[in-house]
Amino acid sequence: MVKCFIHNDQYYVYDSYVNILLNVSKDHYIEICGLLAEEGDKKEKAHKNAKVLKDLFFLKEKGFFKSDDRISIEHPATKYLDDIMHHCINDLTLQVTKNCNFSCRYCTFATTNNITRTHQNESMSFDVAKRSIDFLYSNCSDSDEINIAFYGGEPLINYKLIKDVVEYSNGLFCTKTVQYRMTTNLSIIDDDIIDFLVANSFNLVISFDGDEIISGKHRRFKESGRNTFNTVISNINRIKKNYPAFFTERMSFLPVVFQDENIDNVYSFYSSIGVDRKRVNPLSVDLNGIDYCHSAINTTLYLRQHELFAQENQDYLFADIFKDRTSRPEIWHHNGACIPGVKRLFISTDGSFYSCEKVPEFDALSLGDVYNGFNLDNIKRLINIGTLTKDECITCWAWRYCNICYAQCISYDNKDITGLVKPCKHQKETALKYLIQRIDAKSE
Amino acid sequence: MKIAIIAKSYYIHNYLLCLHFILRIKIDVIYALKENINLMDIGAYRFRVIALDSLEECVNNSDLIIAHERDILTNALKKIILFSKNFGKQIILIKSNWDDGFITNLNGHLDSLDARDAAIPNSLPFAGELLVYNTIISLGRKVKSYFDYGALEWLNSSFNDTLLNSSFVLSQHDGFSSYDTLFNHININSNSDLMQLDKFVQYSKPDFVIVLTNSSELDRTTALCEKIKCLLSTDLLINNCRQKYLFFL
Repeated sequence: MVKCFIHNDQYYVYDSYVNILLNVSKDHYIEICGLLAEEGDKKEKAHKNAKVLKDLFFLKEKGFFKSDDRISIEHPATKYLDDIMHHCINDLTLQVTKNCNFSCRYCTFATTNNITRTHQNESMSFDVAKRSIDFLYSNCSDSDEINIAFYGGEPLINYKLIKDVVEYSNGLFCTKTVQYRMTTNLSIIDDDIIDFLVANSFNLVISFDGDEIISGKHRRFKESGRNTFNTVISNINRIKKNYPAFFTERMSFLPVVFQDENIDNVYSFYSSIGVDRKRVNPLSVDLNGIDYCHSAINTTLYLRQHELFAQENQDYLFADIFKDRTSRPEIWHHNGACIPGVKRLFISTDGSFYSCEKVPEFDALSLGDVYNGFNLDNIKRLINIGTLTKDECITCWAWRYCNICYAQCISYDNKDITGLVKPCKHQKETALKYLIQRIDAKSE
Repeated sequence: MKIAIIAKSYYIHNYLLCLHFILRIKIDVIYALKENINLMDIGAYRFRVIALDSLEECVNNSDLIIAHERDILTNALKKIILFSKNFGKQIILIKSNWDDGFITNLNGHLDSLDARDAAIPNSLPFAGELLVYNTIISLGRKVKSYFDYGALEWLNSSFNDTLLNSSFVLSQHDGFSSYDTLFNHININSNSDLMQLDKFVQYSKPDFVIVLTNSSELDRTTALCEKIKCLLSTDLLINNCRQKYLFFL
C-alpha cells in the first residue's frame, strides 16, 4: 500500500490508503523502507532512529501505513449486471464481413495463421444482423441514444447489409436517436454510397496512412498488388468537394505509423489535405503487426509512453484520482473492466457476442450470442478479472490508478483470461510517472 | 381510461408508480413503446402495461396520450401530434421534465429547518418520492411535506383540472399543521450538487436516507452512498427494489 521512491535526490513516500504523497527526509525514508521490509520477508532491518520512529507513529495515528486486508474483490456492477444488461445496451459493433480488399503488410488479419482473426470470405447474414438489432431494441429501454457501428475486414464489401441494417433500424426506433459509425479504408465507394452515408450522418473513421510513398510501402490492393493511395485520396477529395461539412464534422483518420517513422510528417500530410490534428489518431505498429483495434491497447500504451497520445486525458483523470480522499470500499474492484454492451457490444459474423472488437473471438471470451442472449455467468467471470490476482490487488500501492481491462489479460495458449499476464508492471510505472510529474510540476 | 405514455423509460417508470394518485381518473391500461420499456418489467406495475411497436399503435389504442416533448425526436413528435389529430385523441404535451429544477432554494430549506416548526418543501415531485410519501400517508402518519411552487406549477401546467387529483396535490401544501414525519428531498445531478450534500445532511440530520437512482448512474450512486455513510456515521442498507431502479435505504 506504500510506494517509496527517490526523485531528484529527494525522498518520497506515497501511501495509497490515504492517497497522500509525502516528501520526507532521508532518515524517514530509510526507516519506512526498513519497516516495510520487516513487514515483508524481514530480510532487512532499518536503523531505528527514535525521533524518526516517533514521527512515523504520528503518521500512523493519522491513518498512514494501514493495510487493506478486509477488502473483497468484486466488480461493483456484478450484482446489478442482469438489470444493466437488459436495460442499458446502447452500442453495437457489427462485424459485417471478415473479408478485405487490401493486403496491408502490417495487418495481422491479412495472414492465414493468425490466432485471433484472419481475413476470410465470411460475411454476416441479414438474419444475424436483424437478430442483433432486435436484441439491441429489446434491451435498450434505459438508453437515450443508440450507436450502431460497422466493422470488418472492410465493411463496405458488405454494403448491401449495411444499407439494409440502417433502413431496418431507422424504421424500428421511434423516439431514440440512432448514430452510425464505420471504420473503412474508403476504397469501395461511389456516389450512391456517399449519399447514403451522408444522409444517415455516419461517423467515418478512415484507415489511411498518409502520402503516396508511405501508402505504397504498406497498403496495397490484395488482388492486384497496386498502391491504394490514388484510389483513397481521390475518394477523400470527392467527399471533401461535394460534402464539405460531412468531411469536416464526420470524418476522422487512423494512420498507422511505424516506430521508425516521423509522426510529424504524417500530421503535415494530413494538414495538406485539410485535416486538422484533432481528427488524426495515429496507431503505432511493430513486428507483431496491427489489426487497427485488437492491438490498440498496446498501441495506446506505447503512445502514452512516448507522450504522443492521450497524455492530457490521462493526466486529467489521474489528477481527479490524486485528489480523492475516500478510502477503499470493502467490496472493490480495480477500474478498467467496462460493462459489455453499455460501453460497446461486438457481434461477430456468426452472431457471437464479445465485449468489443479488441477481444479475440475465443469461445471462453464469448458473452453469448444472438440466438440465446447474454451468458451472464461468463460476463460476471470476465469483468471480475481482479479475483484472479486478489492478493496482489489488495496489497498493490497503485490500486487507485489501475485500469487493466480483461482484454489485456488473455492467454493465447489457453484462449482464456489469466491473471498471470496482467500488465501490472506497466500500470505501476504509469502511476509512478504521474506522481513524479506532480512533483516536477509543483517544483516549477 | 387507456393512456399512452411516450417518454424516456425513466419517466414512464415514474408515471407508472404514481399516476394513480396524481390523476383523478380510473386507468385501465398504459401503453408504451417497446423501445422505452423492457418486456421483462411490464408485470411489475399496478397497471396493466402493454408495449407496442409504433407510435401509430400507441396513439390509436389509447384515449389519452402523455408525451414528453424533450424526450422525443422532432419527427416523432410531429407524428404523434398528427396521429392524435387524425384519430381524435386527447394529447398532453409535457414541456419540461420532472427533474428540471435542482436543489431549489436550498438555503430556504435550511432556514425552514432552523425555524423548527416550518415544513420543508419538496423541490421536485419525483415519483419514487411520491410513492414513499403516499405509503407513509396510507399508514396514517402525518407527513410534513409539500410541493414547492415550481413543482405545483409543473403539475398544474402539465395536467388540466379535470385530470389532476387536486385533493392530493393541495393536501401537500399545508406547512403549518403538526407532523410526525418530515419528508425532505434533494436532487443530485452533478458533482457540484454532491458537494452541497454535506450541508444539507448536516442540517437536516435524517433518520432515514432513501436514494432513488437510475441503474445507469451506478458509479455516481455508489459515490453518493459512500458519502452519505461518511456524513451520517450509519449503516446503509441497500435494497435493490425489483432491479429496474435501485432504491438505497
